[in-house]
Amino acid sequence: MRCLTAVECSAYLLERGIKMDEEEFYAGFVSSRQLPDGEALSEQVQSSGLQLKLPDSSVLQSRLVDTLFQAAPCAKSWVIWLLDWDVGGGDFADLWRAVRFRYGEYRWIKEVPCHLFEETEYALALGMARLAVAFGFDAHLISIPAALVVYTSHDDYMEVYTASDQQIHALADELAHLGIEHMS
Amino acid sequence: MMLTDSPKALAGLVIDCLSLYAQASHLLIWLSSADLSKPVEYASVLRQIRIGAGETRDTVLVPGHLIPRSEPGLAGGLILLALLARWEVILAAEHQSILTFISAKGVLFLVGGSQETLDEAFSKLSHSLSDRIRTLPQ
Repeated sequence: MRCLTAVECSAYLLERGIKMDEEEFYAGFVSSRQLPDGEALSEQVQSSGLQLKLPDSSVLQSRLVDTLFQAAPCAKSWVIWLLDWDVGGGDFADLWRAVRFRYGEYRWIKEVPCHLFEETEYALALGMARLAVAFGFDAHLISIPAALVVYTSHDDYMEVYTASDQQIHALADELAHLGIEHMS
Repeated sequence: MMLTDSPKALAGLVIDCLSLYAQASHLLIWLSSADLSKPVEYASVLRQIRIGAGETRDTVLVPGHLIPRSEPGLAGGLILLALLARWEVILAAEHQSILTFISAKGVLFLVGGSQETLDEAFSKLSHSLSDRIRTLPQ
């Protein structure tokens, strides 16, 4: 696991086709192409979204997070970007910090809120993502390559974005089988 | 007493459990499940926390975690992690005559040094648990 600042993470994500806005929220998938003069041009790509109500069950929440991870089978790495860890789960954020200490990251979460997990750290990424949801953090969960962007809120809802309608419909069907209905 | 599956209720329970040991200098969190390697996602988080604290031995061989009072967030986070992972947890502290055991099936047992201690602990936990099932004979 490696921690990144918001600026570093925004740049990292943009290089990989995900644009974040100034408020550190998801702004869309982008594709870049090289112009004849050597300049790079980024173009917005259509994306599809889904809003879910978070189930009030730790078992169902875990299955939800697992399903999201499985929805991006080609992911080589995952980013967990914490936006707010005081509102819902501030009491337990020290556990999160303890994991950061393990990787030599002693700066405040506020200064360095992004966590990059490599393919070999899949289990840890999944565990931390489950905890972020269970602890009631506001956070982004992003697959690299860009296939899935998730925003989870302490207000008990989740937004999921993918690059295609087909993928979002398949995901919605799978979640419906788990008993997790989408709101929009 | 039975635990609910709601993460918010579990978080509330954890905070109430910590209050039972508020006077103790350290809280012992003993993970007593036979297999702490599953589920692998939570075991992976636990392993990293332990390595961060310099503990590289296997969790089954060294299952106790002594957390100072100055780190209630870490203690609470560790207990909540254990509850989410469905591990068995024992909570105890020096000079505190109350022991908490939470089974993998989500049943919470309290063992008190006296009826008064037990009743006091029950009252602290009661609002974050479903109905008290029964008091076992002494």
